[in-house]
Amino acid sequence: MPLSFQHINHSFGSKTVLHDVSLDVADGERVGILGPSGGGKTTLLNIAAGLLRPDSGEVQSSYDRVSFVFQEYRLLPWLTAAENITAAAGCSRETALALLNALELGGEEDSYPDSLSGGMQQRVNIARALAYSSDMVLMDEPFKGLDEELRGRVIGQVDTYLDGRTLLLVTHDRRECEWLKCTKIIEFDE
Amino acid sequence: MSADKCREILHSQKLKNIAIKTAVAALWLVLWQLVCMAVNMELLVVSPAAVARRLLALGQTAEFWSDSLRSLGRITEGFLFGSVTGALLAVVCRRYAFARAFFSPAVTVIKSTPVASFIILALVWLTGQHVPVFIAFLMVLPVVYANVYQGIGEVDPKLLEMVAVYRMSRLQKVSKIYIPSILPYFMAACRTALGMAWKAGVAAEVIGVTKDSIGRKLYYSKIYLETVDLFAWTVTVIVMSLLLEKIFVWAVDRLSRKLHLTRRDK
Repeated sequence: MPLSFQHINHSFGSKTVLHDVSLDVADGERVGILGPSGGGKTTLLNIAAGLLRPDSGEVQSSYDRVSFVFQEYRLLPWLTAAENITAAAGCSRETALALLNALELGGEEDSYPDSLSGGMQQRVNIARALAYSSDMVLMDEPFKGLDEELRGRVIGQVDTYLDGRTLLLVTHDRRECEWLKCTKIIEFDE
Repeated sequence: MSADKCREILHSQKLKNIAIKTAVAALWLVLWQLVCMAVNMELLVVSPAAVARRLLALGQTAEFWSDSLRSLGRITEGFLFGSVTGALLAVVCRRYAFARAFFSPAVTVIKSTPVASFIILALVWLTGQHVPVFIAFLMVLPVVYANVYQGIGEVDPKLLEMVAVYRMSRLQKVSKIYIPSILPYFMAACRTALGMAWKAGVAAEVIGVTKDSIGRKLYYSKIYLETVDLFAWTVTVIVMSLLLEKIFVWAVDRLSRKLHLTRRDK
């Protein structure tokens, strides 16, 4: 399997967030991860991204390039929306503009993050992840804060731009997994 | 709100700020004049008008410009050398624990030692022209070092994680994350350090009676009890210090905008 977690355990201090988690992900597979807040979903994504090493267990990943839609946007405040995408994804300005247009941010390419609403910053965050030529996309509650109608349209664009890449989607809303055609859904307990 | 309306509000705020600054400056001049009239002894306090007249007269001499520019050159040299060294030292000390352990006591000693001690030592070690440069350097180095060191520590770890995920190059990491994050700390340090460089540099010129310098002129003012000259040269130092700060801030601001190290819409 290109991505495999075997018997993963992880704790922060005395709080155990991942207990004996095993998951195999096939190439191009879309996996939805559901569960309550603080249930370890983000921790699992961080492990998949290589940002965190589990306390125990084995992680195997053949993915060299991974993009991440972070929950807290993580945009550079001194760069415009388009520059945030080109700098991180290493893509052309044209690609960045096409993605911004697709995510209904046309005309905001030269806006700085602090002049954009939370929902707009989140879409720049999504555009950056999609612009990066990765093998796997990790999304941590990517549609939070978007109104129902916009969310539907953004999910449609994400579906198109994922283009066969593996997806790990963390969400609270099972419908998002369905809309993004997740073939595997795992649910974390309290 | 329309762009025109925004521009109009910004323009009126700018005019208001200029008016407030002008009023404050005028108030201080009036206070100075009142003190002068109360003391009524030109040897102790000179009137603003007398200082202005003396400055006008000095401004017509080549010696005034030559001395001022040479002092400016020395202080600028010490300042630039000190700020670059301080910033580089902070980077090295953040990176290597041994360097931090090795240089920390030296920086503490530089910070705590009275400037007069350094000036006298420098007079023994160096030739006259280099003493103010060295003293300005010593004043600037610890301030820039401390601020840049703190700035590096304050770089948002979440942004560094983003850089790691997107495999941005080391050069990009430095130019897109570290430098823009540290720049405000560096600029704050430079603003403080510039004033210190002028004060200590001119003090070194006074004590060392440096040839072709403002400090030498201040020394002669004291010897010959020419209070009006003392005030005029002091005003010159203040004006040059402010000018240098404005030019430096403007230059760094332009450069950082050009290199996309800071926002270009402010």
